[in-house]
Amino acid sequence: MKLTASDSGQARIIHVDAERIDAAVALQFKDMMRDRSAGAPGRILLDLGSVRFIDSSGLGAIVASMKQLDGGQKLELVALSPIVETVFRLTRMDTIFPIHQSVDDGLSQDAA
Amino acid sequence: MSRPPESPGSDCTASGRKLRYTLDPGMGDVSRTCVQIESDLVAAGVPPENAVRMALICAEALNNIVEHAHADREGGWIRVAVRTDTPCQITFRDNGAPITDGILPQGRPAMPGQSTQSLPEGGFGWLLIRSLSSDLDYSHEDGENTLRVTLR
Repeated sequence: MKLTASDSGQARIIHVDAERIDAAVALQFKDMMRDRSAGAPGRILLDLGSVRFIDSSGLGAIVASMKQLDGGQKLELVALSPIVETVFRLTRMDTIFPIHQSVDDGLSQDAA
Repeated sequence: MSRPPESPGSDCTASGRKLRYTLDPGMGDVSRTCVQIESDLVAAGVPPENAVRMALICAEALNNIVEHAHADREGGWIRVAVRTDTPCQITFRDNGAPITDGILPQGRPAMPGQSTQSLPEGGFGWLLIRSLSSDLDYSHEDGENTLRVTLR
């Protein structure tokens, strides 16, 4: 599992280079997110475009990642594949996180 | 009884329309087994969107079995039987501790507007299993748990 971060304007994009966020990698994901989020000025767009599977452990790790952000930072989700979208919808976590279809969609909200 | 060409990790055999898997209660086996199950289901002709949902049910149920039924125990085993025809059904059997009072947890979704710090990081497993299934059947007999899940 690899997380790569890049900054665009006032937003940071963190791309998850892994097909699964599940119990086997949940802790690792949370630690890597703490690392990649550090110093991000505001919005963090978590690009899940490569993720083909997430279970409740993976969901929990994303929630934990949000909780470990500092006050000025905000976690938003990008490019949810069908099963990932299903998991967020069934748990109503789609009401908690802003969700965008693509990184461009997420970034276009910055241009105000 | 025929064996699929490759079944790395999990011990998988196929007979008729049932795929069977045996695993040790270690987290590594759960992930690998779920990947195998999803791939075997697609190979058996199950639509991919159903196969991944069944794999998700497996991940949730197996994580629960490992964490609760087999916690701190030795000599544990877990067996999974997956029916590939309609309705898709998955049966989990293990020789671990029974579910408390024999009652399957409900699970609870997040509440819109809920504050960040109050959000739970766990407990969504049973909610997902219930949401994805039309029937759940659990029993504990002779030291064995059996959980049968029918895909919605």
